[in-house]
Amino acid sequence: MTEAKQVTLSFSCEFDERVAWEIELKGWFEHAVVHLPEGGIVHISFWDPVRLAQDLETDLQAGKRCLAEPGMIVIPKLTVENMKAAVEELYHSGYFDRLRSAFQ
Amino acid sequence: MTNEELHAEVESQRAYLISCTASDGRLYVTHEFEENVTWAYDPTKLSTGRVLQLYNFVIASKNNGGEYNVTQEIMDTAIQAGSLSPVYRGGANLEVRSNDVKVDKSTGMVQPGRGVSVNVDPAKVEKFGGAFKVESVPSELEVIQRGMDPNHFEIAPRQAMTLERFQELLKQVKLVPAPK
Repeated sequence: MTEAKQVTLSFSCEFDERVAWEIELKGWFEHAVVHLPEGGIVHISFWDPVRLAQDLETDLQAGKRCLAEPGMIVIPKLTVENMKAAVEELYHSGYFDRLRSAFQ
Repeated sequence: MTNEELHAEVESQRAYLISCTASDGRLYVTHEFEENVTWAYDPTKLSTGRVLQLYNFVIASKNNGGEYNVTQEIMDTAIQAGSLSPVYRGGANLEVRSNDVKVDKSTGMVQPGRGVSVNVDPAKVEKFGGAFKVESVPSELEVIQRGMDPNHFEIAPRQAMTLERFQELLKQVKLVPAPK
């Protein structure tokens, strides 16, 4: 019996204990890559709500009008567990299909 | 007091705070100045800067009908009383890692508001090579609170700059081992 393939999450930067600790404190991480079971990858980024508000304000002060990133996902706290759970949930909701089709 | 007068006073206090920030690199007020003053600010703006934080504080106290006036003397007292908490880096290395910065893809410039992590609590960074106190930072950089934890700060560029320049400035940050 073949085991069903699952969506997985990897990181495109060095990810050691310090990075894991720091991104939770920073509340922002953009080096996440989703590997889809059917093939293909999607680059995503994570924010927590506080950091999102802080970065938006910084960008507005710098003269920008908005803060937007393709594949931006907001989660309560930036832990690996939360990031994986979010990716799993979004995969099953068809989010990554919609995201990919938007860029095709 | 008219709105114009209030605005002028707030701007005056803000200018003073900015001058403090420029001279030291940090200005972080977390406690009430006096018992009868409500410390009311929007927590989502905690990080925008300590200047805005106090700016909001002044407005809040005025809008609540109090006669409290944040004078320069009170500011000085508050700052000396501990609102200027030192920050610590884990290890003597301030090498920028890719998760520290955001690079604008169109310009290649490192964006302001993001940088290397430091912490008010030396015990929290000790495991990363010992706690090192940040003694001073170049004027082109700032130490700003970032994220949910009020003890977490980042040494970040004040303006967009190249990664090389940011790294060069970080090398000028003075770190000294924290007393054990």
